[in-house]
Amino acid sequence: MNELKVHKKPFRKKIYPYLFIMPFSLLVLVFFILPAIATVGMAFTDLNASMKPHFVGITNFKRIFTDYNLPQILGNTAVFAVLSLVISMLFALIISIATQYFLKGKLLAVVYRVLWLIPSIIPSVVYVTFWKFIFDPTEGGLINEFLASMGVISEPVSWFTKGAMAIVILATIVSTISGGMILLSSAINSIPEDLYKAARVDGASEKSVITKIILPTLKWPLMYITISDLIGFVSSYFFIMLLTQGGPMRDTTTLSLYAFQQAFNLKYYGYGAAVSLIVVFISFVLTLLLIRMFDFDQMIKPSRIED
Amino acid sequence: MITLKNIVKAYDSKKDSSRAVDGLDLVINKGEFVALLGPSGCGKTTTLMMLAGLLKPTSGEIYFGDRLVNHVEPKDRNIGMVFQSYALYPHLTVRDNIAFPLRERKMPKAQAYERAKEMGKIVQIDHLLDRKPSQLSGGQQQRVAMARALAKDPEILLLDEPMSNLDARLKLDVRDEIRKLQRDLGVTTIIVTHDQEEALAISDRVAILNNGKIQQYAPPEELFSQPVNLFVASFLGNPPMNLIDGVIKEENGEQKIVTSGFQFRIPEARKLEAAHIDKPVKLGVRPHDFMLAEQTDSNAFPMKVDLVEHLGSGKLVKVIDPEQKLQTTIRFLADNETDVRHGDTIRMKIRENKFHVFDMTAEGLNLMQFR
Amino acid sequence: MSTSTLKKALAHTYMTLLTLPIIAMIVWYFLAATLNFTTGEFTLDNFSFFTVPVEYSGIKLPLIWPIVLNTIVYSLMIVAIEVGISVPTAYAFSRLDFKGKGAALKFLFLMRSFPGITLIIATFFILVKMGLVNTYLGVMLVATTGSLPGLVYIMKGFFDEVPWDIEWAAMVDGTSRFGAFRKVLVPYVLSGIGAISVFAFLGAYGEWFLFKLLIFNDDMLTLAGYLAKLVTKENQIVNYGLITAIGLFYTLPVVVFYIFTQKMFMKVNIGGAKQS
Repeated sequence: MNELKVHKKPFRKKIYPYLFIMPFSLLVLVFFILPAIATVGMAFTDLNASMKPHFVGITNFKRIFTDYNLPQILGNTAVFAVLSLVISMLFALIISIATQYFLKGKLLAVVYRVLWLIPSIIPSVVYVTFWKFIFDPTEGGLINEFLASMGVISEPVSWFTKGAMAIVILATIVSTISGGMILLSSAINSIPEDLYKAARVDGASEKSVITKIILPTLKWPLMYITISDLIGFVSSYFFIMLLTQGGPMRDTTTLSLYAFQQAFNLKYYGYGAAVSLIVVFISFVLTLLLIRMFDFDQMIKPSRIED
Repeated sequence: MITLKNIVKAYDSKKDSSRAVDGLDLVINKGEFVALLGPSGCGKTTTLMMLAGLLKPTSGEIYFGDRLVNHVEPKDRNIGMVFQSYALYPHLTVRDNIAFPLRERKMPKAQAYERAKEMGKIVQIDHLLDRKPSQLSGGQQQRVAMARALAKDPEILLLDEPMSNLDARLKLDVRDEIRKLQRDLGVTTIIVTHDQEEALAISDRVAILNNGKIQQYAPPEELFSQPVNLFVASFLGNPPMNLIDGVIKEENGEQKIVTSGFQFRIPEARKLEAAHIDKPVKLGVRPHDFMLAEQTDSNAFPMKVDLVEHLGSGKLVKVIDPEQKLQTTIRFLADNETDVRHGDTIRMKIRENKFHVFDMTAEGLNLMQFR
Repeated sequence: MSTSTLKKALAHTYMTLLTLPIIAMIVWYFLAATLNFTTGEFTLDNFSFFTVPVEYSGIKLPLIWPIVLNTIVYSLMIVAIEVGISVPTAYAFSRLDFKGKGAALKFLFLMRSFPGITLIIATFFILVKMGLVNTYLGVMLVATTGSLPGLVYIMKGFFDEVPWDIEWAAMVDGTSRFGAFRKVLVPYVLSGIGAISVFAFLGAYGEWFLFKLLIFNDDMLTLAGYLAKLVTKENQIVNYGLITAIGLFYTLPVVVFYIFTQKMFMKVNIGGAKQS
C-alpha cells in the first residue's frame, strides 16, 4: 500500500550510544570477561611460583576431589553461609517489623535504623577490631575480663581457638543485617495504612497482622535477600581474612578463601583457579536464579526520541 | 502551510497492526488553529511528535511550506511546544526557562533576558521571573510554558493537551487567552486534545482521528451538523447521539425508516438513493433533536418514560417504546418546563432535518446528502 | 489505647536491647582510643601516630600524613572515574536505543550480582601481564570495574525517572540530543550523581583488599590498607589503643558524614549484600 522508503541513519547517530558505553565496556572486557576466561584456562594448567604453566588437563579437578581438606572446607562454607543467612535474615525481619510497624513514624525508629546501618558503613578493617577485642584471648579481652571479674574463669579463655567460626558468623551477621533491613523496611513501608486499619476493625490480633499482612508482602524481598546474601557469603571472605585468616588450622576456611590461599599463599595458581571455578559456578547459578526473579521487560525501556 | 502526505508511523515495521498513524493526510494553512481530536491511542499525539521531529514517520512526507522536513532535527524546525506536564526545567528559574530556547540560538544573555521579560509580561507572569518552577501553581507553570514556547517567535506552535492539568474554571480562561494570543501573533497552531469541548471551542478546524486515520477534517459546526460517519457522529456530542437499528422501506413513493419500536417518515427533501431501500441502517438522532409532538402529528410515535434526570439546564429523559421491542433506550433532552414523569406515555417526533442515517459497513458512512 | 502503648514500650525495649551492642561498640572505640587500659586514666598517648611513624611488633609503617594524602587522592580519583563513567553509561542504558541493549542490560545485571572477587586470581595475572601490579592505576581499574555495575544500575534508576517531556522540551527548544543530556538531564539527576559519588567514595575509602594484594610499597597504602596491615598481623597481643585511635581518626569523618546523609542510604542502597 505504501512503499516504505527506508531512511538510512547517519553513521554519527548510529555510533552515538556506543560512545557512552565504551569506557564501561572496555573495563568490563578487560577486567571481567577476560579474567573469567582466564580463570577457566588457568584451571587446566599447573601454573605456580615458577611461572611456567603447562596444560595438565583435568588434573586439578581430580585433585580437588581427593583433597583431604575439602570435606571440612565445604562443611565450613555451608555452615558459614547458612547460619549467617538464617540468623541475619531473622534479625533483619524483627528490626524491620519493629521499626516500620510497631514504631512506625517514631523518631527512635529512625535512630535504631541509623545505628544498625553503622556496622555496614564503618570500613571493615575498623569494624573487625571490635570483635577481636571482645574475644581477645588474653586477660585484656572484654569477655575474659568480664568473666574473670565475675569469678567464672580463672584463666583467660582462647575464644578464637574454641569458637572461631561462631565469631566469624557473628561479625558477619551484625554487618549484614542492615542490607536486609533496608529492603524489608521499604517493603513494609509500602503497605497501605488502610490495610492495618481494616484488619483492626476486623479484630485481627497483632500476630495475624504480621502473618497475614506483613509477611506475605515480604515474599519477594526475602527471596531476593536469600539469594543475594548467599552469593555474598559463598564468594566473599573479607571478614574471615581480617578476623582469623581461615584459622585456627582450617576451622574457618571457606571454599573461596581456600582458593585464594592456594593461589596467593602457596602460589598454586592453577589449582587455586580450579577451586575458585567451583565458587564461580555456584555464584553463577545463584546469580541466574536472582536474575530470573526480575522483570527485564520493565527494565528495558526504548528511547522515546527517534534520531 | 503544513502539509502531511500519506503519513504512516509503524512501531514494528513488520506488522500492519502496530501502525499508530496509518496513511494520514492533512493540510494546515498559515496562521490557522487546528485541533487533533480523538480517543486515546488514535494517533494524535504521535502525529504531533512527528511534526515536532521527535519521532520520524515510517513513510510519507511532512512539508513545512515547500521544505521537506521528515528528517530535520527538532532544533532546526523553528517550532515551539507546550507539553501536558509543561516540562519546565526544574533547575532553572522562570527567566532562564523562557530564555533557554533563545540562549540555544546563541542570543546574547542580556538580550535573551530582555525578551524573557517581555514574554513574561505578555503571559502576565513577569513578577515571577526569579522563581523556580516548583514554586509556581499549575496555572502559572502553564503560562511559563507558553512564554517559553513563544519566546523564539516560532513558525509553528504545538500544544500537547496543554490544559488537561488545569481545573475546570481556569481551563475556560486559559483557553480564551491562548486563542487570543495565537490570533495576535498569527502563529500556526496545532493542539492535541481528547477534550472535544476544548477542541471545538478553540480551533478553526478540527481533525477527528481514529485508528491512525483522519475521519473528518472540518470546522467545528460542520463536524456537528454533518458528521461523515458513525465514528464522528457518536464521538462528538454529550450526551451522545442516539443510534437505533432500522431498515429503509419505501411505500407509495414515501421513504421511511422502520425500527422495531417505531417508524419514521423521511421528508421528501432528504430522500435516500433507491439503492438503500430494504437495507439495514442505523438511525442517528442527537438527544436535543427529539421533541414532544402534537396528538395530530402523523410522523410522531408513542414512547414510555423510563427515567428523568435533572441536568440543571434541562432534563435528560430516557424513553422506551411501549411494547419494549426496541433494544436501545432513547435519550432526549427536554427543557425544564416539560412535565414528564416516570411511567408517562408521550408522543415524540424527530426534528425534520436533524437526523442521520448510517450504513452498516465498517465505516458506517453517513447516507444523508448535504448540499 | 493502653495496650498499644504497652506494645510500643515493649518494642522499644527489645529494640534498645538489640541495638545495645552497636552502641557498646561505638562507646568502646572512644574508650579504647583514649584510655590507658592498665591505669584506667584518660590519655592521648595512642594518638602519637600523628607525629611519629608507627612501629608495631616488628613492622615499621610510614608516617600517617602521606597515607592520609594517598587516601584522599585515591578516593577522590575513584569518585571522579566512577561517576565519569557510570553517568554516561547509565544514560545510554536508560534513554538511548542501540543494538544489543537488552543483552547488555542483562549482562550488567549479572555482573552486579556476580561476585568479581571469585575471578581475582586471573585478574591478578592480567595485571601482572599489563605491568600494573604495584601501581595505583591497577588498583583503580580493578576497583572501578567491581563497583561500576552497581553504580550504573542505581544511576539508571535516576535517569529512568526523568520525564520524557523534559528531554523533548529541550530538543524542541534547540538542543541536540547531547545538548539535552548535558544541559537538562544531568542537572535533573544531580541528586543521583550525589548519591553515587558518596557510594563510590565510601567504597574507595574502605578498600583494603586490593591494596593488600596489589600494592607492595607501604608508603603507597591508603588508610584502610594501612590498618589492615595492623589488624591482620598474626600475633597474639594486639595493641587496641593504637588501632582504635587510628581507626577512630579514619572512621569518624565517614560516620559523621553518614549521619547527615543517612536518608539517602535508606532510599538508594536497594539490593545487594554489602560484604566488604
